[in-house]
Amino acid sequence: MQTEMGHDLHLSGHGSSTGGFYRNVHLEGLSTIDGDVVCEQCTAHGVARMHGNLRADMTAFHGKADVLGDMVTGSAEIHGTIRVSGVCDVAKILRIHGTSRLQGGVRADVLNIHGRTHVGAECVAREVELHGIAQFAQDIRAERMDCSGVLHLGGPCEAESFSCKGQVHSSGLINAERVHIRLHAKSEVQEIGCTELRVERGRGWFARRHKLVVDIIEGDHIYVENVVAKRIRGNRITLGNGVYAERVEYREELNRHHGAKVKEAVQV
Amino acid sequence: MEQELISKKELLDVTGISYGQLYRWKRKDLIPEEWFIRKSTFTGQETFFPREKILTRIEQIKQLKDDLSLDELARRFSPDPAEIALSGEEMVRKGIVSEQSWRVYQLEHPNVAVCSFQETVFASVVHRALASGDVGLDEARSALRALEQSITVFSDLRVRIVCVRKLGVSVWVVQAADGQLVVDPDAKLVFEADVSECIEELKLKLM
Repeated sequence: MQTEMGHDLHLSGHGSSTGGFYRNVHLEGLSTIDGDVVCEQCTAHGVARMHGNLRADMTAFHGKADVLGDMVTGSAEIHGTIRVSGVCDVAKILRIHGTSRLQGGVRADVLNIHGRTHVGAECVAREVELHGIAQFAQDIRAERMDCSGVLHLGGPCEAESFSCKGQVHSSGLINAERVHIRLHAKSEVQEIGCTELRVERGRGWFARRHKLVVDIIEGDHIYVENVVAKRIRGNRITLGNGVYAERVEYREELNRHHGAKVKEAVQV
Repeated sequence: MEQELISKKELLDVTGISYGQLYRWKRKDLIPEEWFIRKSTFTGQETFFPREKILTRIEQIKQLKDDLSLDELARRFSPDPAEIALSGEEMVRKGIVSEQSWRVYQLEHPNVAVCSFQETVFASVVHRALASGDVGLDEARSALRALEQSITVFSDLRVRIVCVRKLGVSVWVVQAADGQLVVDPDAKLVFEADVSECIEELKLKLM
């Protein structure tokens, strides 16, 4: 990044600045920045509030951070609470431990989130790893999606591989090459479209109560357990224990566990 | 503009592709989102497609997928601009425009020697209009003007251009691709073209 001025900005205690071009930015304590900041490295401890955009090669926040503009950075490591009102554009890894609200959407290579997160707009990443509670209000596109915990999807989700341990709540389509869901408690998905689907119940005392309620499943190879579905359509379908399906349409093969209930099964 | 629809199930039967392939192609943007039309039927929600468009698209994909990667195919089908610069002679040679329509284009832009992607698209639309035989030379020229005006309004080239004629006076209308258009019953819809379709055709000719 071109920063002609090699000055550092160091704020500690109760500090404020109007922003500008810097090499290193260190914020400690209660800091407010009123304009845009362009720097090589931005580190903040404590409460930081940025009223403009932040552009940095490397960003690290510890504590509470509020960015009211866009955050464009090479890589970011965040511990604590962060809110970004604009777009969050990270060239490499965005790692968040704690609570985050990313209102303007995310673009990243790798997205690694532990804790609670809310993404208010479109999210595009190569790899997404989520642990905890994640909420995506709109579309999400990734090559690999790996989550454990609770996942809320407000829009369609597209991935090459989608795997989830825990709960999924989706009001749109989950479209992936391979979908693997290990159920925990109750999940609800409107539609799944894939090549390979595997839905398994979790382990534990109440595993048989774990359910996935879904409108339509369409895929080539389908294996499901504990699924309540209106329609299941595919080439080879295996219905495991605890499945209830209103209508199953298969092309080649249908295997049914004796604990699976099917109202109507047709070969097409 | 009622179009004939095909249900997803019928589509798979006719083309012999599987659900996995269909979803994969959708994911790669080979099949645009707008073609997935949801309708409720007595068996619940079903997805339908515009029959003609989806069948030709799937044929194309099946033919090309062995030679090209899916990403390359996606680039070819998307209406996003490609990086090209073509001279008039090249466009005529590749069959994008006829000599006649290139002359019309030059009347409007006498100094243009090399066309960018967008200019090439517009030239090909003019060519299409002239080739249809329903549009006169002067009208084709004003079509070009209408298109060039419209790009300040529309962010991309997902538009349709329509020529309406009444009592010998013709008017060009550029509208968003999914917009409805109703014309005066006395007027005649002389010509219509989907610019994104022109782009697709153009890309096939170029690559």
